[in-house]
Amino acid sequence: MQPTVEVPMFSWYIWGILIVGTFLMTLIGTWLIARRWEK
Amino acid sequence: MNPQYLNIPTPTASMITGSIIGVGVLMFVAIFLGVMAKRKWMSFEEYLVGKRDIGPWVTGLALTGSYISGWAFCGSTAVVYTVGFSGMWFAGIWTLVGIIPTVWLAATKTRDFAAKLGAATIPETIGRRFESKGLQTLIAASMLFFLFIYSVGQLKAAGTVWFAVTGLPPIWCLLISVCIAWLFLVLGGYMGTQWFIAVKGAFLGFVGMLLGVWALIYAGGFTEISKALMVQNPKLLGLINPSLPHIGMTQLFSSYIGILATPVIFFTMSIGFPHNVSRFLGMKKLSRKEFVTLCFVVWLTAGIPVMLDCSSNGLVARIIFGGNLLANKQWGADLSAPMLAWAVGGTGMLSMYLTGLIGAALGTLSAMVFIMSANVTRDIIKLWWPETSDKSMLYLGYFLIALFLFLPFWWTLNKPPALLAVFMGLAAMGLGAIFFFVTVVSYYWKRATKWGAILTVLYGTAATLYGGWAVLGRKPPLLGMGTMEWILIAGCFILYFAVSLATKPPSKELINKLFSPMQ
Repeated sequence: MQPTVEVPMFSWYIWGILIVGTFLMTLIGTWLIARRWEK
Repeated sequence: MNPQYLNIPTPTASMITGSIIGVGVLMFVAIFLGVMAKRKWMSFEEYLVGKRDIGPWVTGLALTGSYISGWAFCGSTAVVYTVGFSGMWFAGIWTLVGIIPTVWLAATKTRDFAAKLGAATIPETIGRRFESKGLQTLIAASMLFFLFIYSVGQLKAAGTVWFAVTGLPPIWCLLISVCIAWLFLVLGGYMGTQWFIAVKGAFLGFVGMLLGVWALIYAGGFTEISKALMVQNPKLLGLINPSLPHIGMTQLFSSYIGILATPVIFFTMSIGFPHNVSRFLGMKKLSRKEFVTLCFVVWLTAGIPVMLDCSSNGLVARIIFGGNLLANKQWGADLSAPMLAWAVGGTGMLSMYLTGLIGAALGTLSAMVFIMSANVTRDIIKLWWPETSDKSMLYLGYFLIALFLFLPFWWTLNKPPALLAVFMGLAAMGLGAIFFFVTVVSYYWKRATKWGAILTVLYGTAATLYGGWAVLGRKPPLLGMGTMEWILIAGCFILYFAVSLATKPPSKELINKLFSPMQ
């Protein structure tokens, strides 16, 4: 997690993965709960 | 001061006028909502919890509003401005990892348990879930203690920024704000608080998103930000900064033990915060579509704006102001977010940001103060002296709300006692570690017992006090903040499960009633 001097964009890649990852987490988790919703 | 970068501007007439108008509108909205909500309650019970008919939009926005405090809105940007990218782990990049599971795990369960048990507060819900008045009292006392400590610093950022932006002493702005907060809490009760926090949540989500996206465009995108930071100091781009001390607060930026603790802190803190979970007490029974709406509202308003606040905003502020804000001994990095708003969007954006910040501080404080007041009236006095009239409880509640609002106000203007200031840093972690297990895990694990819950509360409280001393009070610190989080979580986990397994569970009738689908 430290080679930012060589690759200045490295931290942004991790940041982007976190943004997309948490979005997918929200989407998939909500879908999994909603599909088992009691009528 | 480095002339290569921008500096803090001197307050202008338009900055002062814009700020006064913004806060004036906020106060007007608060009074209006309080008056409207006054018609919605007829009894002490309804004052505390409404009619349990609030929909997903208001509930979701209110959750955002209670969770995003002055610190989340302002302090998170300051952390990243100061230490660079490595600050984002603690500053809130994990916000969604906490707040979305709060909706998943706590929303419908809190609503159903409270409705089945006829409970109006979280301590009452849990006390009745374990058939224990002693546990209800202990939880109320523990919440009161932690929320009191945590509330002390809530207005600090708002007061500081108000003074820096307008040049006017914060006393009148904050005094009028807390008086109006008292008015809408007294008039509107739970409903009024929920509505005000929801409006604030929507506004914060909008301002946070606008500022975050605007700042990224203003800076020329990710590549330009990286290039500018490389020129200043390449360490600002590192995801970890090992040169900072590995004990004390900075462990969260400097070591893997600290950084790995940050998602756990955000997960337990969001789910464990009583002022978050209480947003579901007055919620209606949701359909599938309404549940999905609730998740979407929270993701949109709490997730993305805070993730920008706690990462790119601080970095853009750094490339605009360099280290100039740090050189200011009076305010330091606290001004990074409002100054960023001014630099990218001028006076209009600054006024909106300041209004949002005062709303953030006041909304979170109001949510906490309302719970603290109910901890005393409903969970202690009414519990042990049920013959006390509802009218007496209401009047006592009004007084306690005034008291709990006034003390943070007082300590914003005057330095809080040293001990309070030290423990404040760990109060959020303590609240999270204890009430994640005692509240939310107890909704799912039938075998949990009151003794497991009691020992978790006692251990968590004692460990937090020790942590306050070992991490923040002692010079030099004995432990890192992340290590302390692991000690807190591991101890609460072991005690909650081991003691529960070794002691007698609640009656089968109660368990069947609670864990059967709601009719």
